[in-house]
Amino acid sequence: MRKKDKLYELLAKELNSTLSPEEKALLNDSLANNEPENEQVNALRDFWNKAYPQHFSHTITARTEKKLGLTYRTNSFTRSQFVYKIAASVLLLLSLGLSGLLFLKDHNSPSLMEYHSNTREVKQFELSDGTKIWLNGGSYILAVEPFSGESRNVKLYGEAYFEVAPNAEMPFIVETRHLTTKVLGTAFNISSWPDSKVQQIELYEGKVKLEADENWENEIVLTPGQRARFNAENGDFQIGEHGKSTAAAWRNGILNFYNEELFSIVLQLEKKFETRVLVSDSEAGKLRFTAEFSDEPLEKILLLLSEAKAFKYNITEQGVLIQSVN
Amino acid sequence: MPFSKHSIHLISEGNEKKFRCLMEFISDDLLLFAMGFIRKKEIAEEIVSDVFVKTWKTRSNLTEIENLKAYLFVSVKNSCISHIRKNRKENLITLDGFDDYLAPTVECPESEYINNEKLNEIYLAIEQLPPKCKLAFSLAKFNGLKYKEIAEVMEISEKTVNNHLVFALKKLSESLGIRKKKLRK
Repeated sequence: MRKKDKLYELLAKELNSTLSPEEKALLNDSLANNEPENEQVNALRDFWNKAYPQHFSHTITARTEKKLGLTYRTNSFTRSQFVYKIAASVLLLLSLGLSGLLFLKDHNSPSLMEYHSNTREVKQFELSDGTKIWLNGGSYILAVEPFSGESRNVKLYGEAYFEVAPNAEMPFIVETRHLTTKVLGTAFNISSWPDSKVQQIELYEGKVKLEADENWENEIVLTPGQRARFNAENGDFQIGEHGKSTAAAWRNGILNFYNEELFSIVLQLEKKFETRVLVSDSEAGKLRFTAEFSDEPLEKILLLLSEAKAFKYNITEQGVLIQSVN
Repeated sequence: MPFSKHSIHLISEGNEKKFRCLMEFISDDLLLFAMGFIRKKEIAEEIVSDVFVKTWKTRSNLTEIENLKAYLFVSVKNSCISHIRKNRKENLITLDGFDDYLAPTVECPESEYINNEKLNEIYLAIEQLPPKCKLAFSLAKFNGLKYKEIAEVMEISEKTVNNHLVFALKKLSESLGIRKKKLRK
């Protein structure tokens, strides 16, 4: 039994690539004297060297850079997009097997699509089912198209406005962090930025159902004109009126706020002006504003806001610092 | 190499490109590791990403870390365990997170010594290993960690790592042997 342990100790070292030449000789010796083990040892070697876990495509790099504000370049996206495509086609081949191969001959083969907009850029796309999507700057959407199965699923990072093509048989589902939004045919805006705790959904037409993930098991239904804010930290929904007559005005470069806290306003300013805006205390952060801006520069917006409700601000090369007046 | 002293030094000085290389190099492994604790991919991704965020924010201290790779695995492990703790209703469970580790499923081309049936035998045998033994094996095989790194991640000695791996290989080999005997009857 001891001898056997020694053999496996050497084998483990070999597999871990830490075997010295002397030990290598020792291992070969004990294998030569141990005919019946050989086959098993070779099977284990093959397993170790050739068996690999299934590869999962993921967006860790992109989402980390986004959280850190490092993604203001495109090449990281296109690189990970390339990796997705390889990973996705491998997965598809594996999961679809032969039928997948047949499908691939067809032009309608399902493939992973990535829609993506750069900072300061609003892009419009039409999905294969006729759904129209406007992506706000620095956002992206993933979807396997053409859609098949029971629902049309897409993943959203950032902010987008949807005009979903009606199809009662196949609900349209938007997945964001800890939240899914299910719809039939409707127009709505989702803002789910990685750097904000709160996600916001504004409904303009139709009906949507919001479901928090299984940590919270909380769900609500929105009707037109309503806005829901979802806080992933406590699983709570807050429902109010969005008070906007124009759907997703950011599509035309317009910023509009309706009874919104300065904390959430600065996040949108940061995105629009590609700068850091820091609110140093919650007294200032909790001030609420209703306002609309289109072409005004940042300085003007800050001036107007601070005239409406007083706060101090300081613009430097690194960004903007906002403080309460007291 | 992303883990060379030079690269780590550049990252600690704020080189974003090197940091991205590091993430692209190691995130698959960290995700796989996290998914052994947290079955949900989405949550595991978020955990790994948060570890990177923390790493970047404290980058000035990176050069003091002896083995950055092991350090990242340790951070992911700790985050996973605290996530599990938070989400368990009963707080009284003392949990080191290892009791429920799930080894990843594998794909393997057939060869002279291995086929789908054998692969299945091996996989079942891995699942039946004692929890810590399974984790040590998984870190060595699937994440390619060296004994020293496994020891650091699991907070055990290198000698114990060795014992775990010897035990695991013996068990896997036995499972293959038993099958062979059955066939001979």
